[in-house]
Amino acid sequence: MAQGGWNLDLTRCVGCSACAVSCKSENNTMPSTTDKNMEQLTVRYSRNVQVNYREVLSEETGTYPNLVKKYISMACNHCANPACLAACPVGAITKESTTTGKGLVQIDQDKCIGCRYCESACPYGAPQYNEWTRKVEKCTGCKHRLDAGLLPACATTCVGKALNWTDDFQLSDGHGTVPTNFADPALTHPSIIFTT
Amino acid sequence: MEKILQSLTDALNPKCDRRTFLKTSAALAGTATVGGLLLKEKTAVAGHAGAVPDTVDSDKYAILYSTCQMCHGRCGLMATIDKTTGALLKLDGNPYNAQNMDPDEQVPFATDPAANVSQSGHPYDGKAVKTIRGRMCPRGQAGIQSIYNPYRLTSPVKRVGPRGSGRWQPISWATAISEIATQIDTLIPFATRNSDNISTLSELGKIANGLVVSPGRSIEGQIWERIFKLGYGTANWRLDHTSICEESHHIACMMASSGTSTSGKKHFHADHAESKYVVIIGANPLEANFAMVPLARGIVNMKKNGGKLVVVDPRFSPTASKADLWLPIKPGTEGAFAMGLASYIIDNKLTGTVRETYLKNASKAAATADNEPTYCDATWLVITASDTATDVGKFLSPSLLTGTGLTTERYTWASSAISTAFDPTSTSVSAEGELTPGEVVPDPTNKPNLKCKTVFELYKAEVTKKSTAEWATVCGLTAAQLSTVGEGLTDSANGRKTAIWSYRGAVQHANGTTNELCIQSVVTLIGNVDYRGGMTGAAGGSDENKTSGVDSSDLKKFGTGLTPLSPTGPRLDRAGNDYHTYTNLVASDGYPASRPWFPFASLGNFQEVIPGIQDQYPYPVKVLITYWNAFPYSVPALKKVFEETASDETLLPLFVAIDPIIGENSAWADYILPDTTYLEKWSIPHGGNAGSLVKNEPIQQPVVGRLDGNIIGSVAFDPNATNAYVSFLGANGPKMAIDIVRDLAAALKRTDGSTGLMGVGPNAFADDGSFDRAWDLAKRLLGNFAANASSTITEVCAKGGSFMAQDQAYTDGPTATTIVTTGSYISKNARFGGARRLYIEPLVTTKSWYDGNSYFTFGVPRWEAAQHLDGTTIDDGTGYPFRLITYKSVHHGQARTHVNPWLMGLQPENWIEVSATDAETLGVSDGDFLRMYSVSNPDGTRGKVKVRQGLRPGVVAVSHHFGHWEGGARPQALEFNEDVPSANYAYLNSAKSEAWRGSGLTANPTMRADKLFPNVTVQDRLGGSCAFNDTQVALVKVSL
Repeated sequence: MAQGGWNLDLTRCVGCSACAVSCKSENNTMPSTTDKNMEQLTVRYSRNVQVNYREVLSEETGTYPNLVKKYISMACNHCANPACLAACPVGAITKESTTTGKGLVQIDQDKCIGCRYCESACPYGAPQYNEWTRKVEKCTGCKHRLDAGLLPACATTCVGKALNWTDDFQLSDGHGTVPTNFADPALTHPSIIFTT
Repeated sequence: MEKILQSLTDALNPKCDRRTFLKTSAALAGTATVGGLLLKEKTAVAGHAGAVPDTVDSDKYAILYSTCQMCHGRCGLMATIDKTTGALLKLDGNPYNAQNMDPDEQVPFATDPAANVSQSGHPYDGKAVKTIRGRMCPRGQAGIQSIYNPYRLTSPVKRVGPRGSGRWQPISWATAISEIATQIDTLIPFATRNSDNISTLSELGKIANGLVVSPGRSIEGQIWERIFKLGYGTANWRLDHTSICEESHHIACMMASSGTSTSGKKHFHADHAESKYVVIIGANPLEANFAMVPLARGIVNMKKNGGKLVVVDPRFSPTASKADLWLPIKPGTEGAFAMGLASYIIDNKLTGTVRETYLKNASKAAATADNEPTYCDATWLVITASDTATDVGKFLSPSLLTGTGLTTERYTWASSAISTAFDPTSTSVSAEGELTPGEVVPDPTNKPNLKCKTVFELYKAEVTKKSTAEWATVCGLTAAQLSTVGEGLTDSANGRKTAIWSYRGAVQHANGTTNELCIQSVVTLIGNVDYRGGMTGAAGGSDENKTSGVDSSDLKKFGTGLTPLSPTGPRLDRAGNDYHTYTNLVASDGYPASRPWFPFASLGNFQEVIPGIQDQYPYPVKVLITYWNAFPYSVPALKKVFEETASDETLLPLFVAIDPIIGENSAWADYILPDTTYLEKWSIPHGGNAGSLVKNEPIQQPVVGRLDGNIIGSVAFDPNATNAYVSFLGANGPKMAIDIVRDLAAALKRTDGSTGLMGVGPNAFADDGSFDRAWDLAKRLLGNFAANASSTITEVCAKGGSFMAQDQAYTDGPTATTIVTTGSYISKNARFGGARRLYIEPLVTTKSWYDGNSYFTFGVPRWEAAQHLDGTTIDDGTGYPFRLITYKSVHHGQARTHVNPWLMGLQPENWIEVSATDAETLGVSDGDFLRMYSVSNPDGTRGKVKVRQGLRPGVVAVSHHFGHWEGGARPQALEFNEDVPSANYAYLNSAKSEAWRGSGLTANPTMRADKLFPNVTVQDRLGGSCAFNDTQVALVKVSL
């Protein structure tokens, strides 16, 4: 076994969010499978009540007619040195072994107390607070699929073949051409490489 | 980075989510046949997340392959079905289908769906086919939420208040069908419907024409034709939507590939992945242009291969974001842009080039001799002066030169002499000619006044009316930008691997056809059709209609002794109809006609249907049956006219809508008959589009519901079974459109008084088989399809269609039949191989309904500004300083995606988008509100402002698909009876609605109406497209 990770080719990303929808459909994240009363929640909290393990972010810069638009698809990077893990006061966050497992970082829902420290600690916005369970969840790397020898749902659907999963991510290979505003990989050693 | 997935306040509500809906449905009552089987089973995965993912236990789910229709791209889909409950768990792409997979990852068609892929080097070698997911866009994956939309009707409903009042009574199918059939047979007396005239002018057809069928979108064309044309006898058996989407594009492409508006190719696409230089005008293949999934891969593969992309669009679209050059053109000048390119190429890149050689080939044989796959009409002679005035503008043929002989043969001119007459399609007679010999006299002795020019000479005269720089000025661009593109398209380093194509942004204008004809002329000039990396007319696929004799059932015929009817008279929309065919009408109606006619718009005219009913022209209508139709929402400037017409029962005595929900159109009907979604029906949807280079044809089959009582997916599909389909919503729930129409036809009377139209019931089919349910028709469609694909019904259903490997795309020679992967030409699977046309003779020989004159003097492409039907340019002056354009985003793309919470989550609302420059002038910033209004709609509409750098100043953009006012956006009151228990309407019976379903705005009601006919949008007098991009608007800051 080895560390698993993402291989993302940003020239191929067309910003369509197929990966994000595939993730919601595969993992049944809130609100798509809740039977609680979201109407009430939205009134009470009046803010983001979606739990999205994966999101596509975009940024348009420049002035007319010289413009640049970039997209990036982001989920948990299953870091070698996860900031979320260090921030968790109750030991709910664990990282799998890279010798017997795939190095995935997981949040144990039975232990999570919903303090949201991990949410603040993660530089990539991976932990997602679930208003219904009052706990934090995040991308599991589609562990259920990886364990069955299948690829993560997001990577199977990418229409531009931009987003790929590798079972053998090598930190020593570096992170490729890291996009502007991507948090310094030296902080947490994310398992992602940007290829072009 | 700025997050695009920002806070969703009240914009999203989980009540529409799949699990809640399933639970609600499951709780319907013990009587519901599907009862507790609906819940999506949750297999807990211990200790990792609050949400529980889908099962990976392949024994628990079934995989079924079908065709997606969340847009019209018709990609393959793969449905994961819970075997026990029948619930749809996930949608992915079909890995057998070339649209969903790159060449190296496509599952070989021969592979058994129950087996593993066995192909060395294949990325899925050794993996079970069942576990391989094809690629699919976000809309396609959200289709789950269309089937589990809680606002679906679960029984027919009948209006109990005034039309449009929102008061309904649920009724049974038996009651609905019986009442509707009785009313139709009374309003249009059955005994005389095919004998009594609908008008005092007998040429307008029989009273059967008073039944109008308008499937906005239909992939079940056979059912409308069988029942309403061949069985009932109305000319209005299928008035569909194409003029809303792209008709002028198709008409111009057909003209440019056949010389007529009735045959030829509707698309010429780039072979993106292999191309070196692609120019895309007013199309967004990375958003809504179909099919996005293969187009996106093609474009990113081109970029990876070093190809250059030019995007011509007033808006900096996602496609533009991948471009090497973005040209923010003035909307409506796309044809002028093409003329500017033509001007540059003719001036600088023609003489002595491969293009000159190409253009001189006047016949197939001449092209083949030069290893050219296509040829063109550039050197053919056209009559420019004659003693017979009506001959001017026609091709010179033996018939017109000598008075005898063929009209289909042509002449060229070379070395001061006329050629012998030749058949351009001949593979043996090699004909060439000079491009610009000047005006010539073919027969000075006998016909000294008969003068001719070549097509190219006439075309060049149009092109050179302005210089490249002057054309650039028309477009709001620079000469340098046009010359850059002209160089790129003709750069010898690019070989024949360059392409130019367009879509809605260029054609949904009142000048759409002329725009596209100009663009198509550049396609002809560069001569790259059928070249690898050049352009292709697309491969298409197998047909479901009787074709070559291998298929079993001629679907246009009935059983022994029954003769299908042939409707007479013009269509209500007068599309594809020439006014002058109806001589008595011309005599009484004169010029201009009381409403416009569209002789070239052979694919229909959707925007004229309701105004035609309102004006009772060309005849009054008694019954309107709609299907998959959103008249008041989707048609520019129609909402008010629609509501006026629909609320007047003298103009429209009976209005029946086939619709899964209460939408903007069906809200005004007398009866709504709920049909199934695309995940619950059979059809041959004709995929294989968007530049597909191999035969790639998906089929559609139900993946949710029951067949003969068995949960679909729980048992193997048996094509020999009865296959009676029942929705998961129960026996009184939605039915397939085929079943609905069949049942109605079975209740209508024949002219002899017997019950049931020809074409349904016993003896319905050519093989004397009976048509009792949808499968009876579907098995014949699929049987023909499978036979044409050298397959079986079982196999095409098991694999979701018939698909070629993508290494079948290329060949070595222009006429070669052997496929080689290294070849330089598009293979026979997608080869056009014919004559490209610069000259469209019917534009000269057809006379206008407006003044009786020819549409064009000479049939060459020309650029003209968008105009009203009276010929005046659309110009509302400086009081309306902004030009409105529309587009569709990747997250929505269709009018119907507001029912999909995942998509609404990605983009919960839309905006009035203004350029940063204009925002400053208007004094607005993001989040402010503007009122947008036009001459035709002084009240206009309000919307939230989004300020964009990526928008040409002076242009305002509003995306389609928001601003709904029905479909759950406003309450509908239901009054129950014993027939249908109220428990079946968990959402609708409490008059629920959710504001987020109506979020944002639609620009359509604000669009410009025609000056001559104020009850219809401005529209293209040639190709019939309605104009989404020709409205001038004013903007004023308001508080909301």
